[in-house]
Amino acid sequence: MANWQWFHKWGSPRWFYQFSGRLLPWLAVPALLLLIGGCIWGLAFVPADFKQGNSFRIIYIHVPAAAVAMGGYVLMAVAAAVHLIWRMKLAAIVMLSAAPIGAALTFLALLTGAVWGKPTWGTWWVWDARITSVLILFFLYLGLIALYQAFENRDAAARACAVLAIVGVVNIPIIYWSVEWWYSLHQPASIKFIGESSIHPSMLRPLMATLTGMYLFFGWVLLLFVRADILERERNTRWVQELLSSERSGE
Amino acid sequence: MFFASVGELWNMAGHGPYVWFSFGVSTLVLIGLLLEARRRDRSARALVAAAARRRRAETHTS
Repeated sequence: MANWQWFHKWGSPRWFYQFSGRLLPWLAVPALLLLIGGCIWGLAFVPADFKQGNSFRIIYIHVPAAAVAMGGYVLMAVAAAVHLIWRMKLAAIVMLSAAPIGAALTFLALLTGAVWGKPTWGTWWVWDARITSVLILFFLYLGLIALYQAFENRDAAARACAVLAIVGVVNIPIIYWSVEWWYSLHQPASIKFIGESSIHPSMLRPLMATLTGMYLFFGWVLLLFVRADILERERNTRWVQELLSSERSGE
Repeated sequence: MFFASVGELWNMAGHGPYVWFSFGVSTLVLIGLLLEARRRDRSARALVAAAARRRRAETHTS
Protein backbone atom coordinates (compact mmCIF):
# COMPACT_ATOMS: atom_id res chain seq x y z
CA MET A 1 0.00 0.00 0.00
CA ALA A 2 3.01 2.27 0.32
CA ASN A 3 2.75 3.04 -3.39
CA TRP A 4 -0.57 4.76 -2.75
CA GLN A 5 0.81 7.22 -0.24
CA TRP A 6 1.40 9.86 -2.92
CA PHE A 7 -2.24 9.58 -3.87
CA HIS A 8 -3.45 10.31 -0.34
CA LYS A 9 -0.93 13.11 -0.03
CA TRP A 10 -2.19 14.69 -3.24
CA GLY A 11 -5.73 14.37 -1.97
CA SER A 12 -4.92 16.37 1.17
CA PRO A 13 -6.00 20.02 0.69
CA ARG A 14 -3.46 21.20 3.24
CA TRP A 15 -0.54 19.48 1.54
CA PHE A 16 -1.73 20.68 -1.87
CA TYR A 17 -2.07 24.27 -0.66
CA GLN A 18 1.50 24.33 0.62
CA PHE A 19 2.94 22.51 -2.40
CA SER A 20 1.11 24.69 -4.94
CA GLY A 21 2.28 27.84 -3.15
CA ARG A 22 5.88 26.88 -3.90
CA LEU A 23 4.97 26.00 -7.49
CA LEU A 24 3.27 29.34 -8.35
CA PRO A 25 6.33 31.46 -9.27
CA TRP A 26 7.67 28.62 -11.47
CA LEU A 27 4.47 28.82 -13.51
CA ALA A 28 3.81 32.57 -13.42
CA VAL A 29 7.22 33.89 -14.49
CA PRO A 30 7.83 31.61 -17.50
CA ALA A 31 4.15 31.92 -18.52
CA LEU A 32 4.37 35.71 -18.75
CA LEU A 33 7.82 35.69 -20.38
CA LEU A 34 6.81 33.13 -23.03
CA LEU A 35 3.43 34.74 -23.76
CA ILE A 36 4.72 38.31 -24.00
CA GLY A 37 7.98 37.36 -25.74
CA GLY A 38 6.27 34.96 -28.16
CA CYS A 39 3.60 37.51 -29.08
CA ILE A 40 6.15 40.30 -29.76
CA TRP A 41 8.20 37.82 -31.80
CA GLY A 42 5.20 36.65 -33.80
CA LEU A 43 3.71 40.13 -34.29
CA ALA A 44 6.79 42.08 -35.31
CA PHE A 45 9.64 39.78 -36.35
CA VAL A 46 8.22 36.78 -38.21
CA PRO A 47 7.79 37.29 -41.99
CA ALA A 48 4.24 37.53 -43.36
CA ASP A 49 2.58 34.38 -44.74
CA PHE A 50 2.83 34.17 -48.53
CA LYS A 51 -0.87 33.32 -48.87
CA GLN A 52 -2.58 34.96 -45.90
CA GLY A 53 -0.34 37.99 -45.43
CA ASN A 54 -0.26 39.44 -41.92
CA SER A 55 -3.60 38.07 -40.72
CA PHE A 56 -1.85 34.73 -40.05
CA ARG A 57 -0.21 36.37 -36.99
CA ILE A 58 -3.48 35.71 -35.13
CA ILE A 59 -2.20 32.09 -34.99
CA TYR A 60 0.05 33.07 -32.06
CA ILE A 61 -2.96 33.59 -29.81
CA HIS A 62 -5.67 31.52 -31.57
CA VAL A 63 -3.87 28.16 -31.56
CA PRO A 64 -2.64 28.37 -27.93
CA ALA A 65 -6.12 29.41 -26.73
CA ALA A 66 -7.80 26.56 -28.67
CA ALA A 67 -5.21 23.91 -27.72
CA VAL A 68 -5.29 24.77 -24.01
CA ALA A 69 -9.10 24.99 -24.06
CA MET A 70 -9.12 21.35 -25.28
CA GLY A 71 -6.27 20.24 -22.99
CA GLY A 72 -8.03 21.93 -20.07
CA TYR A 73 -11.19 19.98 -20.83
CA VAL A 74 -9.29 16.68 -20.78
CA LEU A 75 -7.74 17.65 -17.44
CA MET A 76 -11.19 18.56 -16.14
CA ALA A 77 -12.59 15.19 -17.26
CA VAL A 78 -9.69 13.29 -15.64
CA ALA A 79 -10.26 15.20 -12.39
CA ALA A 80 -13.98 14.36 -12.70
CA ALA A 81 -13.20 10.64 -13.05
CA VAL A 82 -10.84 10.73 -10.06
CA HIS A 83 -13.55 12.45 -8.03
CA LEU A 84 -16.22 9.92 -9.01
CA ILE A 85 -14.05 6.83 -8.53
CA TRP A 86 -12.12 7.70 -5.36
CA ARG A 87 -14.41 10.41 -3.93
CA MET A 88 -11.43 12.76 -3.78
CA LYS A 89 -12.68 16.26 -2.86
CA LEU A 90 -9.58 17.98 -4.23
CA ALA A 91 -10.29 16.46 -7.66
CA ALA A 92 -13.75 18.05 -7.59
CA ILE A 93 -12.17 21.42 -6.73
CA VAL A 94 -9.76 21.06 -9.68
CA MET A 95 -12.64 20.13 -12.00
CA LEU A 96 -14.78 23.10 -10.92
CA SER A 97 -11.84 25.53 -11.06
CA ALA A 98 -10.86 24.45 -14.58
CA ALA A 99 -14.32 25.19 -16.05
CA PRO A 100 -14.32 29.03 -16.04
CA ILE A 101 -10.72 29.16 -17.30
CA GLY A 102 -11.52 26.72 -20.09
CA ALA A 103 -14.65 28.70 -20.97
CA ALA A 104 -12.64 31.93 -21.22
CA LEU A 105 -10.02 30.30 -23.47
CA THR A 106 -12.68 28.67 -25.69
CA PHE A 107 -14.33 32.08 -26.04
CA LEU A 108 -10.95 33.51 -27.13
CA ALA A 109 -10.42 30.68 -29.62
CA LEU A 110 -13.85 31.30 -31.17
CA LEU A 111 -13.48 35.08 -31.24
CA THR A 112 -9.94 35.18 -32.65
CA GLY A 113 -10.95 32.46 -35.13
CA ALA A 114 -13.84 34.58 -36.36
CA VAL A 115 -11.61 37.65 -36.67
CA TRP A 116 -9.01 35.57 -38.54
CA GLY A 117 -11.71 34.09 -40.78
CA LYS A 118 -12.95 37.44 -42.11
CA PRO A 119 -9.80 38.50 -44.05
CA THR A 120 -8.84 34.88 -44.86
CA TRP A 121 -12.10 33.13 -45.82
CA GLY A 122 -14.23 36.25 -46.33
CA THR A 123 -16.62 35.33 -43.53
CA TRP A 124 -16.71 35.64 -39.72
CA TRP A 125 -18.48 32.34 -39.18
CA VAL A 126 -19.35 29.06 -40.91
CA TRP A 127 -21.30 26.20 -39.39
CA ASP A 128 -18.68 23.62 -40.24
CA ALA A 129 -17.53 20.70 -38.08
CA ARG A 130 -14.49 22.34 -36.48
CA ILE A 131 -16.13 25.60 -35.48
CA THR A 132 -19.40 24.00 -34.39
CA SER A 133 -17.64 21.39 -32.24
CA VAL A 134 -15.59 24.14 -30.54
CA LEU A 135 -18.84 26.04 -29.92
CA ILE A 136 -20.16 22.85 -28.27
CA LEU A 137 -17.00 22.80 -26.12
CA PHE A 138 -17.84 26.35 -25.01
CA PHE A 139 -21.40 25.29 -24.11
CA LEU A 140 -20.07 22.24 -22.22
CA TYR A 141 -17.90 24.49 -20.07
CA LEU A 142 -20.78 26.94 -19.46
CA GLY A 143 -23.19 24.04 -18.86
CA LEU A 144 -20.91 22.61 -16.18
CA ILE A 145 -20.73 25.98 -14.39
CA ALA A 146 -24.53 26.41 -14.59
CA LEU A 147 -25.14 22.81 -13.44
CA TYR A 148 -22.99 23.32 -10.35
CA GLN A 149 -24.90 26.46 -9.41
CA ALA A 150 -28.27 24.73 -9.90
CA PHE A 151 -27.74 22.40 -6.91
CA GLU A 152 -28.11 23.33 -3.25
CA ASN A 153 -25.96 20.42 -2.12
CA ARG A 154 -22.28 20.84 -3.08
CA ASP A 155 -21.47 17.12 -3.16
CA ALA A 156 -24.43 16.23 -5.35
CA ALA A 157 -23.58 19.16 -7.63
CA ALA A 158 -19.96 18.03 -7.99
CA ARG A 159 -21.03 14.47 -8.86
CA ALA A 160 -23.49 15.69 -11.51
CA CYS A 161 -20.81 17.98 -12.97
CA ALA A 162 -18.32 15.11 -13.02
CA VAL A 163 -20.71 12.96 -15.08
CA LEU A 164 -21.26 15.85 -17.54
CA ALA A 165 -17.50 16.47 -17.81
CA ILE A 166 -16.80 12.79 -18.57
CA VAL A 167 -19.61 12.45 -21.13
CA GLY A 168 -18.51 15.67 -22.84
CA VAL A 169 -14.95 14.44 -23.36
CA VAL A 170 -16.20 12.60 -26.47
CA ASN A 171 -16.25 16.04 -28.12
CA ILE A 172 -12.44 16.42 -27.86
CA PRO A 173 -11.42 13.85 -30.53
CA ILE A 174 -14.30 15.18 -32.67
CA ILE A 175 -12.78 18.68 -32.52
CA TYR A 176 -9.28 17.38 -33.18
CA TRP A 177 -10.10 15.24 -36.23
CA SER A 178 -13.04 17.32 -37.51
CA VAL A 179 -10.85 18.96 -40.15
CA GLU A 180 -9.90 15.53 -41.51
CA TRP A 181 -13.28 13.80 -41.23
CA TRP A 182 -15.45 16.50 -42.80
CA TYR A 183 -15.06 19.08 -45.49
CA SER A 184 -14.06 22.30 -43.74
CA LEU A 185 -12.79 25.80 -44.46
CA HIS A 186 -10.56 25.39 -41.44
CA GLN A 187 -7.00 24.41 -42.29
CA PRO A 188 -5.71 21.06 -41.00
CA ALA A 189 -3.23 20.93 -38.12
CA SER A 190 0.09 22.60 -38.92
CA ILE A 191 1.93 20.95 -36.03
CA LYS A 192 2.01 17.17 -36.28
CA PHE A 193 2.95 14.76 -33.53
CA ILE A 194 4.13 12.26 -36.16
CA GLY A 195 5.89 13.43 -39.29
CA GLU A 196 7.03 16.84 -40.43
CA SER A 197 5.06 19.96 -39.51
CA SER A 198 3.68 21.96 -42.43
CA ILE A 199 4.73 25.27 -40.91
CA HIS A 200 8.10 26.96 -41.47
CA PRO A 201 10.45 26.76 -38.44
CA SER A 202 10.70 30.57 -38.28
CA MET A 203 6.92 30.72 -37.80
CA LEU A 204 6.80 27.63 -35.58
CA ARG A 205 9.25 28.75 -32.87
CA PRO A 206 7.21 31.73 -31.57
CA LEU A 207 4.10 29.52 -31.75
CA MET A 208 5.77 26.93 -29.51
CA ALA A 209 6.64 29.80 -27.13
CA THR A 210 3.07 31.13 -26.87
CA LEU A 211 1.65 27.57 -26.76
CA THR A 212 3.92 26.60 -23.85
CA GLY A 213 3.23 29.98 -22.22
CA MET A 214 -0.52 29.43 -22.46
CA TYR A 215 -0.28 25.96 -20.87
CA LEU A 216 1.74 27.44 -18.00
CA PHE A 217 -0.72 30.34 -17.69
CA PHE A 218 -3.59 27.85 -17.45
CA GLY A 219 -1.72 25.95 -14.73
CA TRP A 220 -0.99 29.18 -12.87
CA VAL A 221 -4.58 30.48 -12.87
CA LEU A 222 -5.92 26.97 -12.12
CA LEU A 223 -3.73 26.75 -9.00
CA LEU A 224 -4.88 30.23 -7.90
CA PHE A 225 -8.55 29.23 -8.29
CA VAL A 226 -8.01 25.89 -6.52
CA ARG A 227 -6.15 27.56 -3.63
CA ALA A 228 -8.94 30.10 -3.09
CA ASP A 229 -11.52 27.28 -3.10
CA ILE A 230 -9.44 25.26 -0.60
CA LEU A 231 -9.26 28.25 1.78
CA GLU A 232 -13.01 28.75 1.54
CA ARG A 233 -13.94 25.10 2.11
CA GLU A 234 -11.40 24.58 4.90
CA ARG A 235 -12.02 27.92 6.60
CA ASN A 236 -13.07 26.28 9.88
CA THR A 237 -10.03 23.98 10.10
CA ARG A 238 -7.16 24.75 12.39
CA TRP A 239 -4.49 24.78 9.70
CA VAL A 240 -6.26 27.49 7.64
CA GLN A 241 -6.93 29.59 10.75
CA GLU A 242 -3.30 29.28 11.83
CA LEU A 243 -1.98 29.93 8.32
CA LEU A 244 -3.91 33.18 7.91
CA SER A 245 -3.27 34.46 11.42
CA SER A 246 0.47 33.82 10.95
CA GLU A 247 0.31 35.63 7.57
CA ARG A 248 -1.45 38.60 9.19
CA SER A 249 1.05 38.83 12.04
CA GLY A 250 3.90 38.54 9.53
CA GLU A 251 2.76 41.59 7.59
CA MET B 1 11.85 43.76 -37.24
CA PHE B 2 9.96 42.50 -40.28
CA PHE B 3 8.20 45.85 -40.83
CA ALA B 4 10.01 48.96 -42.07
CA SER B 5 8.32 51.30 -39.55
CA VAL B 6 6.02 51.35 -36.53
CA GLY B 7 3.30 52.69 -38.84
CA GLU B 8 3.60 49.60 -41.05
CA LEU B 9 3.58 47.35 -37.98
CA TRP B 10 0.35 49.03 -36.86
CA ASN B 11 -1.26 48.86 -40.31
CA MET B 12 0.03 45.36 -41.28
CA ALA B 13 -0.88 45.99 -44.94
CA GLY B 14 -4.57 46.31 -44.05
CA HIS B 15 -4.73 43.38 -41.60
CA GLY B 16 -3.83 45.55 -38.59
CA PRO B 17 -7.38 45.94 -37.20
CA TYR B 18 -7.97 42.15 -37.24
CA VAL B 19 -4.61 41.28 -35.68
CA TRP B 20 -4.49 44.02 -33.04
CA PHE B 21 -8.13 43.47 -32.05
CA SER B 22 -7.42 39.74 -31.52
CA PHE B 23 -4.37 40.39 -29.35
CA GLY B 24 -6.07 43.25 -27.48
CA VAL B 25 -9.13 41.19 -26.50
CA SER B 26 -6.90 38.23 -25.58
CA THR B 27 -4.83 40.44 -23.27
CA LEU B 28 -8.01 41.70 -21.59
CA VAL B 29 -9.39 38.17 -21.11
CA LEU B 30 -6.13 36.85 -19.62
CA ILE B 31 -5.86 39.85 -17.27
CA GLY B 32 -9.53 39.29 -16.39
CA LEU B 33 -8.74 35.69 -15.34
CA LEU B 34 -5.97 36.94 -13.03
CA LEU B 35 -8.30 39.57 -11.52
CA GLU B 36 -10.96 36.89 -10.98
CA ALA B 37 -8.33 34.75 -9.21
CA ARG B 38 -7.53 37.71 -6.92
CA ARG B 39 -11.25 38.29 -6.25
CA ARG B 40 -11.73 34.62 -5.30
CA ASP B 41 -8.70 34.70 -3.00
CA ARG B 42 -9.91 37.86 -1.24
CA SER B 43 -13.46 36.59 -0.74
CA ALA B 44 -12.12 33.27 0.62
CA ARG B 45 -9.84 35.13 3.05
CA ALA B 46 -12.77 37.28 4.18
CA LEU B 47 -14.73 34.09 4.95
CA VAL B 48 -11.76 32.65 6.89
CA ALA B 49 -11.55 35.87 8.92
CA ALA B 50 -15.32 35.79 9.57
CA ALA B 51 -15.02 32.19 10.79
CA ALA B 52 -12.19 33.24 13.13
CA ARG B 53 -14.28 36.12 14.54
CA ARG B 54 -17.22 33.79 15.08
CA ARG B 55 -15.01 31.30 16.88
CA ARG B 56 -13.58 34.01 19.15
CA ALA B 57 -17.09 35.27 19.96
CA GLU B 58 -18.18 31.72 20.83
CA THR B 59 -15.24 31.16 23.16
CA HIS B 60 -15.94 34.47 24.91
CA THR B 61 -19.59 33.70 25.52
CA SER B 62 -19.06 30.11 26.68
